[in-house]
This record gives sequence, structure tokens and C-alpha cells, in this order.
Amino acid sequence: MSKTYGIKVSRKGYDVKTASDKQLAFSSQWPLLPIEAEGTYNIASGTQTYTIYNHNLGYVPVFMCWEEDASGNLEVMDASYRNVIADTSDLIYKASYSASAFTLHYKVFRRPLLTEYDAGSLISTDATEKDSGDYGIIVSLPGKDVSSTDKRDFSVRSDVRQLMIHKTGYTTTPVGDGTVTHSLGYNPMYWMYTENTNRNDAGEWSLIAETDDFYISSSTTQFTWVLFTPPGMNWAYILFKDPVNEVG
Amino acid sequence: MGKTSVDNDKAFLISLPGYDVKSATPEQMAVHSGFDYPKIEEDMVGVVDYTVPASVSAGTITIATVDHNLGYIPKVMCFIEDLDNIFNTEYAILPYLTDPGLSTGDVFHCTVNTTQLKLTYVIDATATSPVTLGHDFKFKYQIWVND
Repeated sequence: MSKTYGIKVSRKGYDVKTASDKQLAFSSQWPLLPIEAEGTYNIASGTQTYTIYNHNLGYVPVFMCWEEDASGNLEVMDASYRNVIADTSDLIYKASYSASAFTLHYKVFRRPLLTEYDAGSLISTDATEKDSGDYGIIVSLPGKDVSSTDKRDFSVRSDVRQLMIHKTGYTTTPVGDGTVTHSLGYNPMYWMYTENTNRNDAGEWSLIAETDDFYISSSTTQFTWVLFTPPGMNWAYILFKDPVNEVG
Repeated sequence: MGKTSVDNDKAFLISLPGYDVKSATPEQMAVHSGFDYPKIEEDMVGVVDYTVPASVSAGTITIATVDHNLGYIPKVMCFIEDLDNIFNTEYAILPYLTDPGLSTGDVFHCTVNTTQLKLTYVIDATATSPVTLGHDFKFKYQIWVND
């Protein structure tokens, strides 16, 4: 990594000079997840296929989906039942069954899923929280007033956490399992994707849910995934500078 | 809504190491004011420890509720940790189906509405003696200030 003349902004309550990587709101040393597109799509009951969004990015983007029921309750999309795929041009709800209608929420991020990247760890020892003052930075979105009290009107803010990317990677040969090392010193939060050619076409990437035959282990030094049932698949992962099992 | 980003916005740009901020693409930026990002409220991140009762009946067990009162349905992420190693997986993103080999069964959920996040364990009528009985779990949730 080259020397840079960048910027780092600590989270509320932490001295930016001593804050650990995960105590930062953001840093020029590593990327966040920029939202390229977002929206909702009404999914009818039964087995359906819909093109949700034509992103036309020319690469398979990182994406995340949630589902909202008729009562207004939302949760992360159950990827063991719902099959949403991204390819180089579209986000598609593909040949997927649902017993009842629901509203799909999606976010497409301006980041290629198939990226080998490692931010490394610069400061891994946590600083002690000093005070609740916020001497940070807020950046409003285009057309929004920087004095707005609605945090949705902002691109980034130092008084909230941003999802900071630590490491990403992918496989190019189908395998049943994989292990990657990381230098975080805590168990990182992750998102996991697969190119499941048993279910979809080559080049179509979907979220994957942990089930009885697919499991995840996340230690302080390694991230491991295992698929019990062959054949293998291609995989893509994102590890965040955010613990999966503590507030951090 | 579709595309929400504004590629040519130049109000606040920070490029990643090795890239000239004057020519970097959005993918090569650390921060770009033309883009929204997932943002997580500091006081809406938490960890919940939970032990499944020794016996359960069909229905919904509320594990925890967290008021957010944002007035809109925020996005949320939640992970479960299997502290007693009874599942194959150590971590899972909720929702998580707990009964190996079953297409229906008991499911841990993390749902959110306009006022509250709720962690629940839904016991299916066909699976009232789950492997989880008496076992310990930990949940990490985060509420985004993004709708």
C-alpha cells in the first residue's frame, strides 16, 4: 500500500490519533459501500421471475436484499428460499417460490463483487472511549441541506458507523470450502455470495444462507466456509471492519 | 427508485490510496458525496445473549425488542452465534432455520418495523422439540439509518 495524504475520521467519542481501525467512521485507506441504486419491488405469490433492476455496470456488483411482509415487518431476505441474482447487467428475482406476496427491498452497491482486496490493519488496539462529544464531519447528499436532522439526507457522518471493507475475495474454480486469513484480531462481520450453477447460470451470483449443509466460521484470524454437499461452487466474500459478535 | 447516486457530484471526494482524486472513478473513492452509504446509529448496535427454554411449544418467542422510533422502516442486519456448537455453522445471518435437513421448522428472525426491532424464535408445530432446547446463543444486531 502506497503512502498517501488522506484523511481519517474517528467515531464519536474516540480520539482520531489513537482510535483503532474499527473505531473510525471512515478512512481514505479503505473503501465503504457506495449505494448505486436502491428500491422496492412487489413480488407475487407462487414461482416468479422478475428483472428487479437494470444496473448496467458491466460487472457483478455487491448487493443486499431484504423482504417486507404485508404487515410492514422487514428482515434480511431469506436466501435459502429466495433466489436473487446479480450478473453484469441486472438484478433478477429468479424462478423463486413464495407462499405469499411480499415486497423485496434491494440495494445495489458501486463495487465489483469479484474483487481481491485487503485493506490490512493499521491500528488494531482499541482506544478508550473518552467523551461523547462529536467534533467530526457530516457530508450531505446532493440536493439535501447539511442542516437536516434526518440522517438519511447524508452521504457520510462521523456520528454514525459506516460499513468499512476490510477484505474481499472470490474463487474462480468451484470448490466446496475455503479459508482466508485476516489481520483483524476479532471475528469479523461478513457477507457471502455464490455462483451456484446447480441453481443458476454461470455468471449469476446470489446471496447464500447458512443452512444444515453450508456453514461459516469466523475466528479472530481466519474466515472459513464449508459446503458439505458436492459439487463445489464459486464463492465471493466481504469481511468488514466490524465484529460479528460484539458491539465493537 | 432505481439509481440514487450522482456520479458527477464533486462536493466531497476522497480517493483511495494510489488514485488521483481528480480522475478516480466512484469505485476508486473512499468517500464520494454523490453516494449514500449504509450508516449505522451508534446506539442502535447491540448484542443479546439468549438461552432457549428447556421446553417450548408452537408459537413465537420474543427474545428481545429494541425501540428505534425512526418513523420509517430502516434496514437491519443481524447475526446469530451458536455458543454451544450444536449447529454446523458457528455464525449465520438471520433469518436462520435451526433444524438441519428440514425445509420448514424453527426459525430465528430479526424483523424491524417503523418503531422497533424484534428478535424472535418461531417454533413450528412440526418441530416443538428442537435441538436448541436449553442452549445458548448470542445475537449481534445493527439498525441502519437507511430506508
